[in-house]
Order: sequence, then structure tokens, then C-alpha cells
Amino acid sequence: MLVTLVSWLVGLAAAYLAVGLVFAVAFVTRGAGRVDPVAAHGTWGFRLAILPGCAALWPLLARRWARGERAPVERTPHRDAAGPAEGAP
Amino acid sequence: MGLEYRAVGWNRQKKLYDLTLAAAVAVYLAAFVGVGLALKPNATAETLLIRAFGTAAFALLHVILSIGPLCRLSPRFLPLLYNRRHLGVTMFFLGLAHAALSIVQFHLFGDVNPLVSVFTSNAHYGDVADFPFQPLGLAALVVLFLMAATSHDFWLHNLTAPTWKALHMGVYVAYGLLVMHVALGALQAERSPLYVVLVGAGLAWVLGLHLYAAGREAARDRAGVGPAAGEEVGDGFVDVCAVDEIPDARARVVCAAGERVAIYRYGGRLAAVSSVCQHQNGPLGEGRVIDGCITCPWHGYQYVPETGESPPPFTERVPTFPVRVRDGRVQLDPRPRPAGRPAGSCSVKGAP
Amino acid sequence: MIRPLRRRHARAMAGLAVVLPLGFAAALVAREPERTTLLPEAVAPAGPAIEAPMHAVDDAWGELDLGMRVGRTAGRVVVELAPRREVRRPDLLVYWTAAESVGDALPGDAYLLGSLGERARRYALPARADGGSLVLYGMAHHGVVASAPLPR
Repeated sequence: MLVTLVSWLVGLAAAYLAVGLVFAVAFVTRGAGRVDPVAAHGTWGFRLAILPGCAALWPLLARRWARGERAPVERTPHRDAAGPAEGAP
Repeated sequence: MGLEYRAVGWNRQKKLYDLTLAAAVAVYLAAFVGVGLALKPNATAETLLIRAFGTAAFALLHVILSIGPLCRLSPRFLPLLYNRRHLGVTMFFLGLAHAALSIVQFHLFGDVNPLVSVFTSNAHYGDVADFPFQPLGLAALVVLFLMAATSHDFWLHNLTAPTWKALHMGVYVAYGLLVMHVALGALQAERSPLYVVLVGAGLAWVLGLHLYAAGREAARDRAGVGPAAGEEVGDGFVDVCAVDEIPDARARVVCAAGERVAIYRYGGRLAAVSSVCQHQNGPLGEGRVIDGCITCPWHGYQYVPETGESPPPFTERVPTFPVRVRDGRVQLDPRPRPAGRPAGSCSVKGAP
Repeated sequence: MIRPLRRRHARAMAGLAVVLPLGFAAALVAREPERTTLLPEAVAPAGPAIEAPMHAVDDAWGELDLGMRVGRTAGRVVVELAPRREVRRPDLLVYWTAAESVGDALPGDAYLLGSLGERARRYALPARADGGSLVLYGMAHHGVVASAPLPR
């Protein structure tokens, strides 16, 4: 019973990471520059460095890439109180 | 943010930091294996390496966890904070080596998937003394992986600093899991009181330091100004302090609008900005004015005092606050202006 | 760090300061008493009795410190191996081989007699056995740990 359950969960995690790895290769070569313009000129060392994180957080990045969104502005008590920044979308 | 992402933005300080770290780790591993072989000649190389990597990772985690609160208590520790992410990534790789060797040694040659075996080879989940401690270590490693994998500035920018910081507070979960991994694992077999004292002292040190620093920070946050806390002096402004209480090129930090505000004095003028650096939410108010810019004490990110904006070509910007001087007293309007709509500055003599 | 996270940090630390010392103490309290290595002398060795003792060798196994007695029962050779100190290897198997000297690998004709016990055990050798060697084989590292020629 325990072995079946854990086998299932390990398989699920492996599938998630396998999809993530395929996505990450595409993202670091093409998508990163769309989501974050600074990344468009990133070195190959940089692309390799963010690859594991892209494989782990791929649903977030995939959604942003698909919707053409950029990184949001951080939320702090002062920014919330001040309202939207000048020139913000 | 920088103008271009690299794997590591090397500079002299980072190289020195990483060389020291690499040397310390190498010396520790060599000493552990050498002393281990001398004291226990029957121990196999695999066992010694598993223990060397595991203890190195656990000890390094204590160092990492000490840096944050120590920096809150004294700026002397700031050089350790500068490149703390490299300590974290190193710690993850030490833990990974420990886990990989352990899984090869104890789980690889059976007929069950080794990762499944970690969770199922010992199923005494209801027993304290015989509790399966290995899953605790693996869970901690997953948390540490998420943190190491998102340690690049790309993630800081794309997750935003508050979310990134919240994610990286997972280190406390990892620490708790690892303390129990050690207590239910190694300490069940190794009977020397020395190990109990070492782990217990580490636990007391980490918890004591964090609780003390958290208490001090909470007290600073409670001492706020604003319509509720400070004395309102008209036009929505509140009294803060005498002009002379702020040294040149330094800031007075007060709490207003739910967060800390840094009121900087520089070359005969005053300006107030949100004391939260956009890079990693470092304490801007504890920095200095260098080359005309407020400079964050953590990683040196800079902002023009009047505008709260990083000098071109950089694009960071923080909210600002109107500030004025009346009868030698500094007065602050505690309503923040949005980033990009500067509140400006005033002369210390009271003129605009 | 922003103020909401400072609050979260303080709460997390207060929680850990309660949970972790309790967990740590519980783990220490639950430790089983340390096992001693004293072996009761009076327990009779497992395995067939030795009816006609032939040899007793004390130092055949080097640092493993095993006493070895060889005799015959019903025409077959019986060997007794008695650890005099704790053998810190849980996985040793005892084999007999016709070879007089043994290298790192188990010889092809090796005949499994049983596992080495923490107390004395006796092993009946195959009917054809006369001479040859006894081999201790470690499962963990898949290699011969020690061997000793069998006195004729």
C-alpha cells in the first residue's frame, strides 16, 4: 500500500520535472527574453544557471510566456499605499 | 537590475569570498575523512564521505542562518551577507552529495525504485526511536533545491523581491527538517554526548539569535510616526527629529504607512524614500550617500535621493515622501508618492 | 525584508522555538539503551554437534578473531566458527571451496554453508569436502573478506 502510494507520488514528481525540463530548454533559449527583456542578451552561463529553476517553476513561466506578460512590480506596504507607479501599465 | 544577466557577476570581493569558501569546505572534508580514518580504521570510504558531506552541509547551514540576524545586530557582518547566496548553493551541493551517496549505498541495489525505497524501506512512521529519518532529509533537500535553483538575480526580478524572500524563508522549514533528520538518524546510533551537545548548541544558537533579532526589529517597527504615532504639525506632516540629529550622508529611519522610511541628509539637503531596496528589499535607510546616491548596504544598489530612481541606465525606483524643515525640525508627510512621481527634497535650512 | 515578512519571520521563529526543542528532546528520550557486545557463553552453538574433534585453530582468520574447530560427525566434516569479539559486519556468508588459496573473487565451486553468526555456529561441509578452504564473503561490497585453509 505504502509502496504503491509513494511510487505514484514519485512518478508524478518525475513527470512534472520531465515536462519542466523540456519546457526549460525552450524557455532559456527563447522565452526568457520575451518575459524579461534583460534576459534576451543573457550569457549561456546565465541560461544554464536558471535552467533548474525554470524546470521547477515551469507553470508560472509558461503562463507568463503564453500571455506575453512581464515581471510584476513588487508589492510593499508603501507601494500599495502610493498606488500605481508612474508609467506603469 | 543589471543591464545583462551572467551566470555570476564576478568581482574581486566575490572571487575572494568564493575562494575562502571553497578552501574552507575542502579543508573540512579532508580533515573529517583523515581524522575519521585515523579514529575508525574499519570505516569504509563511502561511510566517511557520506558523513563528511552531511556534517559539512549542516554546519554550513548554521553559518548561513546566522548571517541575517547578525547583520541586523551589527554592520560588521555585512561582508558575509554580500554573497550569501553562494553559501546557500554550496550548502545545497554538499547536501546533494550526502543524499546521492546515501541513496547509492543504502537503496540502489534493491528491486524497488531507490527514491521510493527512501520512503518505504523503513515504514515505522509511528515510532519515535525508529522513525524513518531519511525522508526528512530528502524533503529538506527539495526545499534547498528550490532555493538554490532560484538564487539568480533573474528570479529576484521575475518573482519580485518580497515573493522571492518569502520563498527563501523555506530555509527555516529545511532547518527544522534537518534538525529532526539528525536527531532521529545519526543521534540514535552515535551515543557520544558530544554530538548531542553540538546539535543542541547549534539549535539554541540559531533560535536564540533569530528570536533576539526579531524582537529588536519588531520594537523598531512599533516605534512609528504618522497621524497615529507622531505629532501632526499641519498639512498632514508629522514631526520626526531635529535636523542636527541626522549625520551627513546618513539617514534617520522612521516607520510610517506600514513600513520604514529613510530620511537622508546629504550636502545640506534632505529627502525621504521608502527604506526598501527594490533589488532584495535590503534596508536602504542603513546605507550611505555615495557619489550623490543612496547606496544599499546589502549589494550596493543606488538611488538618487530626490527621485528615488536608480541613475540611468538602471531602472529600479522606490516610492518617495515629501519632507520639509520648520524651526530646525524635520517634518515628514507619511503619505508615499508612487515610484516615478518624485516628492523632491528640501534644504536643511528650511527653504524648498 | 518588508514588514509583513518581518512579522512572518517572527511568527515562524516563535513556532520553531517551541516545536524543534520538543522534537529534539523527544528524539533523545526515545533513544534505545546502548547495546552491549557481551555474548552469553553458555549458549550451545547452533548446527550439528562435533562427534570426533580433529583440530582447533585460533589464529586462522587474522584480525577477524574467529575461533575455528574442525571435527567429524557421521563421516562428514563439521566446522565451528566462534567470534571472540563482535564482528562489525552484518552481512558475511560462509562458503567452502576445494581451492587451497582464494583471491578477491568467490571461486566457481564455492559451496554456501550459511551466514556467520554473532555467536558460535557449526556448518556441515559437503560429503566430498576434504581439505580446501573456508571463505567469508561480504554481500555489501560483493567481495571476499577473508579466507582460511581447512586443516586436514
